Amino acid sequence: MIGLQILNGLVYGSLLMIVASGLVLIYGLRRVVNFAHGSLFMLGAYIAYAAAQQFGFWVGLVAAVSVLAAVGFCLDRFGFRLLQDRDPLTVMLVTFGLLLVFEDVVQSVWGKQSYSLAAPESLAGTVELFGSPFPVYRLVIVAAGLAVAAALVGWLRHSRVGLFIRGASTDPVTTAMQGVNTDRLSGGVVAVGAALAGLAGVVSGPFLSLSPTMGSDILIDSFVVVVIGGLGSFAGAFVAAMILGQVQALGAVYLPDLAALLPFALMTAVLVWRPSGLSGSRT
Amino acid sequence: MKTRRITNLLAAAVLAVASGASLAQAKEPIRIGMVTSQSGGFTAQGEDSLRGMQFAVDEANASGGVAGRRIEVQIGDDESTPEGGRRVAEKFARSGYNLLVGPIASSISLALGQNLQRWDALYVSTLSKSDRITGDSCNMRMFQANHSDAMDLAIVQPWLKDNAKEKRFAILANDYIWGRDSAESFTKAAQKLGKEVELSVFAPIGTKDFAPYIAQLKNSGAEAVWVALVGRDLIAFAKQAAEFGLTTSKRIIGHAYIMSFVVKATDSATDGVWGVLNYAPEIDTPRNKALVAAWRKKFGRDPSENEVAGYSGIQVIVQGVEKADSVKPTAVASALSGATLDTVWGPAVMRAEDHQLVKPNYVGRVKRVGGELRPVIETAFEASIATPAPTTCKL
Repeated sequence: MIGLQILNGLVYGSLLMIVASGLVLIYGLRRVVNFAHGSLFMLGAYIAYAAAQQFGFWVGLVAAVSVLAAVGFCLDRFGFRLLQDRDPLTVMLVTFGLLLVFEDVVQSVWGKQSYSLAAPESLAGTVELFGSPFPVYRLVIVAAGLAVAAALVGWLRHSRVGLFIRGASTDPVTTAMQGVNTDRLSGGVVAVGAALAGLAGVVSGPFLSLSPTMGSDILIDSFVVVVIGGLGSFAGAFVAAMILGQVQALGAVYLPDLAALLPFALMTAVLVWRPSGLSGSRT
Repeated sequence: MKTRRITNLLAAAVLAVASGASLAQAKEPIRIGMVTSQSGGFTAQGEDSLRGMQFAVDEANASGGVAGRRIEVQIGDDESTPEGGRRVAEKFARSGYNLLVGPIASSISLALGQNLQRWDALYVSTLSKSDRITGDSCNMRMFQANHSDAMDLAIVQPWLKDNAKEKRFAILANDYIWGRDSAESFTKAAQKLGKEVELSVFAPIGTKDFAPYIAQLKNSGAEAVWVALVGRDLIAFAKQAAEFGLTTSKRIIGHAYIMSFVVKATDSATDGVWGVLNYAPEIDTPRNKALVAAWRKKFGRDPSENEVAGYSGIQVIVQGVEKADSVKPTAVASALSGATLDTVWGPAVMRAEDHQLVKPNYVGRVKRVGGELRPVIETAFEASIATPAPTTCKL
């Protein structure tokens, strides 16, 4: 039973990890707390839903990720770049406004009812784990989370672009003086961040339901992750997402009366103990 | 020239008289304020019920109005909150649209109920289920056209007695007053029949991943699960329960579960789920047959429970106005109190003691009908069993 619950925690943790890593990427380079991230998550799910109706889940996945990358690029080019000298609060309000706009756009196209995105047939079955059938699709979510984490670490640690990104997120001015085009870099990074939000949206489609407010729902949890982990830190976000997943899964079973409160209690405790989050420093 | 002028004058006079006559004939219109959730947590139900209300209004206006009166409506968003509902309703009532209908959440209905006297308005509840509407918060100007929670739970015990072989049950409910009440009532009903409730788990509202709860339910020795969840939580649970095979390994019995919007949003995940059902298109009454036929003609499908709830709310107002031959809220209220109304459930009395519409209720199951998955009535309970006696209301 406990093994099963830990696995359940891993599934939700992995999903949060994908969403939060996009937030961290964007914050790292642009210093923007992107409230619109939740709506990008939602947009990803809806685009995948629309495409999957015609061409199946996988085309939906690719379509959502590519459209969201484009949206991310535009968001940076026509949003964050123009606003980079403004007060961070102004930019935050703009992203919050975008969240509302995206929600309304989705609502006017697809209406307010909930939709269901079916898992691809090859992943729809169950396997026997800890003496109970466990959906294969949920294991795939864990695998996807790990793959995203590994790919990001590989990219940021071991590639030239990764070096630039790390440089620019530590000190954008000096990095630009060394000849790195930080604006183009930011465009790319925000595109990747948005694509990750879209990916998380698609991945969550088969087990959550699609509704215009699904973005704001997940946004709160991912902010908790980012705050616990430390803004701008991947390692922190990864650890925090996994902890939060476990807290939700085990809390639901062993401390049911406090289940709703636990993530926030954890966040408060971490903020008191280490105000800059678990990792404290940036990658 | 002169004759032409006289003809003109005559024509004008005829027109004036004629229009005056027609003005005299048309009575004061029925002004209805539709307070509905167009944003916030109840938008999906709000959209459905609004469609039903609009349909009823259009139908009545297309057939020349109600006893010589046209229906005029104002539609407003309560933002799914009591404060939003009160604000919109007050605006409507103050501008003459004082026959109110529409909110979903019971908290909004109760907020409206408190103010009806002050606004000189009347309110027909169509989707709220709280027992307080016809209990300690009942009101001369408030009417409950919906099945109340007490009605939904009143049929559980008789149904369990004759239809459930299971001896051991588990409960999963949302952790707030409605979920807790539902769990408590179910436990009482089961215990009275010598059945056991082994496990009760309560999930906070807004739970996205139900896997931890599903694992507990599967692990318990229960043979069936009573589920009382709402909104998106319910949809997420329905999908995940099917994913983990809970739906096939234990009988799921839902409180407000087998509704069209849930069935539609979850592919085939609700196939085989049981539950309390307030309406289904197969209900065999003349009014329902006519509604289903007209609805199919317009939308190409059957109406859903929420749509019919909205439709019925307008029916109650319209029949009240007809009986009162007045649009004054107080006159309509006294005409409705104790009246027998023609509803999709058949003739139904608007009980004078507490303003509860006395009507039958059902237990059903989600089944495939002609290739389409929908809730189907399995057992019907007549109004005398389905509507418990008035409780604390003093009118």
